[in-house]
Amino acid sequence: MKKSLFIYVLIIISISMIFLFWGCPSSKQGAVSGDVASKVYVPPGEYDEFYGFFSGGFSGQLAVYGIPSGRLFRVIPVFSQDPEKGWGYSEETKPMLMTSHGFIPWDDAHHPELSQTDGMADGRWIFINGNNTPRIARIDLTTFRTVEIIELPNSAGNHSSPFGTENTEYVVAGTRFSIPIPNEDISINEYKDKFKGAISFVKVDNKTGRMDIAFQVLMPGFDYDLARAGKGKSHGWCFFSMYNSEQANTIKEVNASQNDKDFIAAINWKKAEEYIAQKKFKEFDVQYAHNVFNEETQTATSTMKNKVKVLIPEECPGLVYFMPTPKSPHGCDVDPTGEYIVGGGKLAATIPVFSYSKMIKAIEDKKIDKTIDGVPVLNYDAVIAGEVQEPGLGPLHTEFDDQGNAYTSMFVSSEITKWSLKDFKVIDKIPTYYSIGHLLIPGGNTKKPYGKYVIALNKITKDRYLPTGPELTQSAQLIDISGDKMKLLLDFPTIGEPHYGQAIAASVIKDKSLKFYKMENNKHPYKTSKEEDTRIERSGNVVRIYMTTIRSHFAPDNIEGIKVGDEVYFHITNLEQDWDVPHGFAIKGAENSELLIMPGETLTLKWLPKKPGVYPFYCTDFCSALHQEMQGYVRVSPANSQIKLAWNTQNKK
Amino acid sequence: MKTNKHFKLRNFIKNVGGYKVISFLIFSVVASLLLFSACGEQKEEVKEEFLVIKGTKIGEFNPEKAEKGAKIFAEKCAACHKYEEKFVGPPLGNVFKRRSVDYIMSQILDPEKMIANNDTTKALLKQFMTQMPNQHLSHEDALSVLEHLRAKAEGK
Repeated sequence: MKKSLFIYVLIIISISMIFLFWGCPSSKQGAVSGDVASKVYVPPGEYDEFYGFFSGGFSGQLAVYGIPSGRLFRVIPVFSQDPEKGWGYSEETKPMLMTSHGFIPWDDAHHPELSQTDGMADGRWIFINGNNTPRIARIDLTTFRTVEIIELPNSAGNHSSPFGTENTEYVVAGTRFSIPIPNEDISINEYKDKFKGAISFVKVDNKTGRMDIAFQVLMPGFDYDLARAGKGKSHGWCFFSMYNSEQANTIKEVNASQNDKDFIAAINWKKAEEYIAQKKFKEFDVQYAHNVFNEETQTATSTMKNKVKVLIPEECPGLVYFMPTPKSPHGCDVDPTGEYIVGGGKLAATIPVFSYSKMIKAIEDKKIDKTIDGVPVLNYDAVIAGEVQEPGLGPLHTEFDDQGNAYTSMFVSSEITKWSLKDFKVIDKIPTYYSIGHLLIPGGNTKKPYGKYVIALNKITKDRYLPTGPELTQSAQLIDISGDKMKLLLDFPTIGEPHYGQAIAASVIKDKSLKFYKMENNKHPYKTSKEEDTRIERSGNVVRIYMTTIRSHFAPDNIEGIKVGDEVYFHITNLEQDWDVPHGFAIKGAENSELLIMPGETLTLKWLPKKPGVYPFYCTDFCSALHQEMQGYVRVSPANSQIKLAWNTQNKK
Repeated sequence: MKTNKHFKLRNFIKNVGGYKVISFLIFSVVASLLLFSACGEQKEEVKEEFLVIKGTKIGEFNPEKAEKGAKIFAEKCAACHKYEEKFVGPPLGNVFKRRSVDYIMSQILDPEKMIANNDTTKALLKQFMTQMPNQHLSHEDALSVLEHLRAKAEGK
């Protein structure tokens, strides 16, 4: 008896104590300190510290992750059609994928580049390159949508792109393949004589972000690989790495690795502006598409342009210099002060660090070894600040922290090497899993890096995740750099190949994020402002259906009088005016994707009915308890039918 | 048997430290209950009808305002509300007579809070099943819609 009472008392005490000491059960738990998991754990409902924008590689898109959690928030469609979002399928977005080669549904996107003000990422736009059919895209960071794509003439393989200057005066684009310029039907064996490499400087309007090709520099026929603009003291210059100074056009694996040194080119773009002003350019006839998404009409237009200004180095002294760089350099990165330019010679045993001040002095003192196609080659010893010894194998890319350190990715030895900008000595190394390409530090390409983390962007994951057949994910690895030793915190899979990425403090972007499109600002030519205006208009075989959506019905939802051979356009306006209430639209048999219509937006789906019958359509994005009821029918009659257009939504009063 | 139990209990209490223990136990249970109940305070507080907007004043009938309200109603409300018949939501032809002006204003301007807290709105959601969207009207536009509904109800 005594014993059971004692237990009873104990239970009461313990329950009381739990409430006393635990407090309200709903209150959030503080993160447990000390272990690795707590450093990347973002509790449910809380926000990450950084936005991470990683290229989607051969998916052609741009992925948005939270850092440090590694959670994927959104895949922004850029160069590839995306049926999930109707990108490149809706009539409004199709023009975004137009090029001088016609409609191109795919590309390979490598290097996201945040816009900058005074050398700091300002969170207005992010640019990314299309590698295969050379293009640059601009994404607006209030809507997280691609709003502009410009094609690059005279280019072939837009890899060296779209790195920007410190106030985003320009984003640049060097060609990975040299080609005949103008392009013509000649033998590939004429490479050495006829092939050239074009480097484009794309002007970005400071207010609107609108891009325009200001000029191109016609460079020797090498392979232009990566680039970085100068900053601070070196603002006004831009640096481009290149390989294949051998000018090989076959088995480049061997033939482009013969020379002891290739180059980093330094282009003085302020000088270029002077030459343009003096009209020292040649105008080339070209063809390139410029596609702009108009936020007001919510519709993209594609314009074909046909002229480009070209500067020839031989005719423009002081415009370009070559700095000899060991063994097929890849990365070409500028430190936060703008003084050091770090080359990543993928086959080199050391990392060369060039000095901007020494380069300027070498130019003044004419320390020139030779000239190639009018480009002076500066003396290596006159421009080098130092070499990082024994960094590892296969140095590629370098980013910087806020403590005067540099971090270089080592592809062959799969590791990150941390070294000091003071004495170029190696401080620390950490393995990556596996075959790291680029790496990123939040703000690591700017004047003031945030530091805190380095993220390895890996090509190969082999045994890191559950196997998924022959095709495996690529990955990112989050590494803590706040202490003396680098410390691995997290692995997470990425979409496509995450070539490069950039991260920015969430606070710079999150409060500017658009919640919905205001109906009164919607100037779409086929907008329907209210349900009573919904209607159907026929002009010959073109039928336009002015439709609206609101939780949870379409208006109209019963449509008759459509005939086989008609060209039907569903112009659908989402009348909702609240955050996160898109409606979807899909109709049976459409050779197209769904539409996903944001609140206040109008989108158009083209439909070509082929057989008589009744066709259902429905909302694809779960919108309310009665989402499943959000559906309708279209009756399709034979081509010669006399059935008149009719529609209704029980909309009598 | 009973007395025997009581006797044993008293003995037990004495054995483990007497009435001090009892009072400590009572204290801790009461204290923890108080603390715990504080967590649900928000719900307890609402006794009178919950509203987001209070103290709405309507003056003399303003036909221009009502006309503006009719236009807004057509764009933002009419997809779901008719005047005489049930549709996606309740008919609004005489809502001006049926509900208080504060209720109407609250429902237009913050339907999410009303659905969470107002018993009338909760009951309506059960009946109609579709959550009313927030159409983000300005306060002034909501007053115009109110004036339009007033015109409808009063036959002006």
